[in-house]
Amino acid sequence: MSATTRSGRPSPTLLTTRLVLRRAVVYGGWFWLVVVVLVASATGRYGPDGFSFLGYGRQAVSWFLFSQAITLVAASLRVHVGSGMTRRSFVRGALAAHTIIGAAHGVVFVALLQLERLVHQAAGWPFVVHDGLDATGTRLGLLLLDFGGTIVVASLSGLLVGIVYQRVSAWWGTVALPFTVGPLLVVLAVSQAGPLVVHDPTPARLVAVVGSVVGAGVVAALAFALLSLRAPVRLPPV
Amino acid sequence: MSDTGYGVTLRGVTQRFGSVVALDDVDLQIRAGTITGLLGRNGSGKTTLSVLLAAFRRPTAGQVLVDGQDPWENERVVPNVCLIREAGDLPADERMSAVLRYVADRRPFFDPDLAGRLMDTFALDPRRRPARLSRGQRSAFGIVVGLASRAPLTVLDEVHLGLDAPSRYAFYDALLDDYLAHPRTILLSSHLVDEIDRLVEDVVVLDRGRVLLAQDAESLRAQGVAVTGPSDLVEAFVAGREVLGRQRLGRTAQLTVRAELSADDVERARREGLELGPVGLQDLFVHLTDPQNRLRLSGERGGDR
Repeated sequence: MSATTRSGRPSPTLLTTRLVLRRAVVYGGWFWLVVVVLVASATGRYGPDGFSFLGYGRQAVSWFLFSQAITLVAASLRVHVGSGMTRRSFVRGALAAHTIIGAAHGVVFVALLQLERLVHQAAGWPFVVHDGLDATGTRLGLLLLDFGGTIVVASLSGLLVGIVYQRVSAWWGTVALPFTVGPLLVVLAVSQAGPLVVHDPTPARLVAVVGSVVGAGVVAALAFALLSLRAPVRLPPV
Repeated sequence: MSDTGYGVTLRGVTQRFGSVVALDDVDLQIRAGTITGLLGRNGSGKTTLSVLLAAFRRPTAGQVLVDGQDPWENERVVPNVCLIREAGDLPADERMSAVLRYVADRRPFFDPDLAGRLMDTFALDPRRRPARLSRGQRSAFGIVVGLASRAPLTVLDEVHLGLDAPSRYAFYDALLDDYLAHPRTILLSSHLVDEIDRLVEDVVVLDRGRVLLAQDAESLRAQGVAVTGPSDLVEAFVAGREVLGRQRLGRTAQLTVRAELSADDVERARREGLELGPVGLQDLFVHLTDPQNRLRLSGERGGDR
């Protein structure tokens, strides 16, 4: 060809990761803005009762990222392959981006939880989180393990659900939900079966929580990768 | 890679969708550096062939080679294969300016200047989003992306849908201009055969998932002759030749035959007062894919591949 190729192009994996992250920043910004507004208004009215309203948001952020990951697969695989990139780079980019997104939301969640605790302290109110996190919980690493792990696995489970819907019909995708949502359900079950690690940092509890997060995360990621690498791209009708 | 684009080889390619056979044991060569017209009636397998070349899916059986390699998950080949259907498979909810940057990052030969010129040609506002465009505008944007990507194998599948006539001719002119300046392999699928007649160098005709014909357009055109005159004389003249179509008006008949006439044939026609005329690609296509001709032609399929 007489045209010349441009050198120094970033790798498709990096391009994919960046694209997903850029969109996630926008979606995440709106999500946390809504959460902060809701929590602030609830705190302003019911703050003296001492309940952490953000504490109820753990499920919300998990399922928000879960659905966001499903949307990514539904909307992006065809565009990715249609733009001249391989499924391999899609898998790498999606996994990297959604691990980062999950971790980042975990950090934001824990940071806002600390902020809410400080507000309660400053106002002289008690601070009670519905699932047992007390007002003195300041071991941020353990808090992040308690909340961030679940959020990352939620994100990876969403990718798995998305690719299963792509590979099979909507009917079979729905039938398979108990398995594809399984990694997230396992982590939630282990997490809620005992005290938070921040309250019970014993080896047994650490192994249970870390093991469920890592195990479920790896299973979800591997299943997503295996199903994506052979996925045909379905064309919408023109 | 050839200096003029990617060649394509299909060996025994079959693609099934459940009980539907979209491509049936297809053997085909597409020459590098040509504009090849991919013709066929609805459901003939044109889009299926296109998506196999772009590695959207793997064939049920057989081998697809693009530039000598299987395009499936091939990091060297796939950035250089561009399949455009209508607006292309692009982010529909981003501004077109952002989509063009997105494509530029992913297509090694993308030319932003050409993209800008084509956006002007089709009067597309880069601030608008593809999802909010009319069908014709979406097609025009697909053309912008397809041509500006300058992929060594560019597959344009019915990209004219919804385009008005001036825009279609602007597309044909832009395609030809850029192809001459930057030769590459272009596979052009369209139902508007008359309009792309002047563009294509090779022709592939698919019919019900099989290759009915694959040859260079010039020799194909030369094989089509319309013989007009008194019915009995015309029938006698075409006896023993492959008749693709018959039209009668009173005692006058016009028969379309697929044959290369010798100088003696031409002299005989002149002597008998018969008119010999060219047959356009569209007429040939219509006749070739006429169900009544299928059985007769199917016997020759092996030689046409």
